[in-house]
Amino acid sequence: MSAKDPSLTFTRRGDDDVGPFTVARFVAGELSAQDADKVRAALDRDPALAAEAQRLEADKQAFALSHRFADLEKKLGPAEDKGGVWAWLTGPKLAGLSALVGACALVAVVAVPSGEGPTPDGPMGEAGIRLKGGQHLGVFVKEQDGVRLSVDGEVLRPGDQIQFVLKDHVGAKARVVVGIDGKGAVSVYDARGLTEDPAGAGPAVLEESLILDDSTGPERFFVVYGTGSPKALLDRVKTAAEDLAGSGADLSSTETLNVDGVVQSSTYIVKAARADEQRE
Amino acid sequence: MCLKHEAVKPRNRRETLRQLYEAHAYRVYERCLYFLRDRQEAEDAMHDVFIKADKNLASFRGEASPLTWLTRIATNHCLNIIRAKKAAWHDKYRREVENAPRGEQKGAERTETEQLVRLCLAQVDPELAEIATYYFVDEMTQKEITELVGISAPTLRKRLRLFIEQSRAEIEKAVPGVTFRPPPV
Repeated sequence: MSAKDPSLTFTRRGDDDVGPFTVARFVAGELSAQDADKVRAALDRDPALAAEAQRLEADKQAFALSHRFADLEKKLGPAEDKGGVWAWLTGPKLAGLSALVGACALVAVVAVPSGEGPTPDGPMGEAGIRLKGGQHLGVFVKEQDGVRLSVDGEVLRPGDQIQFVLKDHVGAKARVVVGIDGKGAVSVYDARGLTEDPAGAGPAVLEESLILDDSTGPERFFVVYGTGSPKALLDRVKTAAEDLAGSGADLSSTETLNVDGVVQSSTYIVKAARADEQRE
Repeated sequence: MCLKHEAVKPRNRRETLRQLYEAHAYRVYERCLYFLRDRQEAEDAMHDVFIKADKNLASFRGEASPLTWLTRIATNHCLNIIRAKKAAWHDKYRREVENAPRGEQKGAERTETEQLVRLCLAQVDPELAEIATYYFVDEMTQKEITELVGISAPTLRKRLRLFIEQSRAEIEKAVPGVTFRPPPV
């Protein structure tokens, strides 16, 4: 390497330019026809990119000769139907949520084992779930053909099934998840000590799923991380949540609880009546 | 191959995994080798990545390209390995930087950047390490990274600047007396 001029500084491409990663996707054959044409044009103009494309093609062919899928299959074992991310919904239902769940104004609770649900270190955490930067909390929504992460302020309906997804804060010793609904009711969904270092781990889902009841209005969910005991954190968070609920603050824009010395993030949904109910 | 939700129904699981493997395994292996610097370890890690992918095929809904999805799994998997014994990895990377050939041959700058970034990955915050890999090693655009990781462009630039700042301190230890060009972000 050049000792006088180490570079983390090579020329950056614009967002619309073709870069090496786009070329890799081109070689992998996953670009649309339009994007592929754009790459071909770029390869014609840029010898370095063309060389990169040739290298990737050659590597791909050479690799295929020496690394066969059968080797991976030996580790995988026989193919089996492991079900989808919501397969666990068909599992035996537990009696209820944890003892820490308080007044559940939001939901009729269905607590079920996680079974084949997404794993903390799996791609649901690494790519399938993509919490925004700095976010520690998201809400999964079940749909007929799968699950998805809700967006802030999304309108959901009675009967919709949701599940919290959390990306724990590094160094936290305790975690509390609470919700405040539009009527000012505070619900505690989770409170626990954290022992494992979450560094590097992706988001993980909370075990229990929730089914929205027929109340309407905004509901904000908070996750709060602290370094003290879970009980102490729970007390502080509940007090702050009750204060906020009592203040009549706009839940769509109030993103934090008044708790000092903690890390927290939140998301919110809007519960609306179903269309047929609205007509009645 | 554009993997759609329909393509990952159980009956297609193994065939879908095979298609993913045949289309992208070489890139996953390349990513693992970049971090782990050992062919056998890289192959084992590549298999681990596909095992993870197999477990979660049903949850992959085609939001990202299959290559992007696997790249992210591989990146985080390797960063986890490195983080477990980060001092040892840092020493290994530092020796590589110190022993790197010095020259101006074609492609040297990219190789140099990859070495320098790797030197710093074990030392910085996991989120910084991940985005730095996409930016400096994969040369993804900022737009591609923000879509993949789910952060805003200003947040991405802020984190990249932080990475560069922390990295320069590390590089100065490995290559005393260096000077730096202005940062790219």
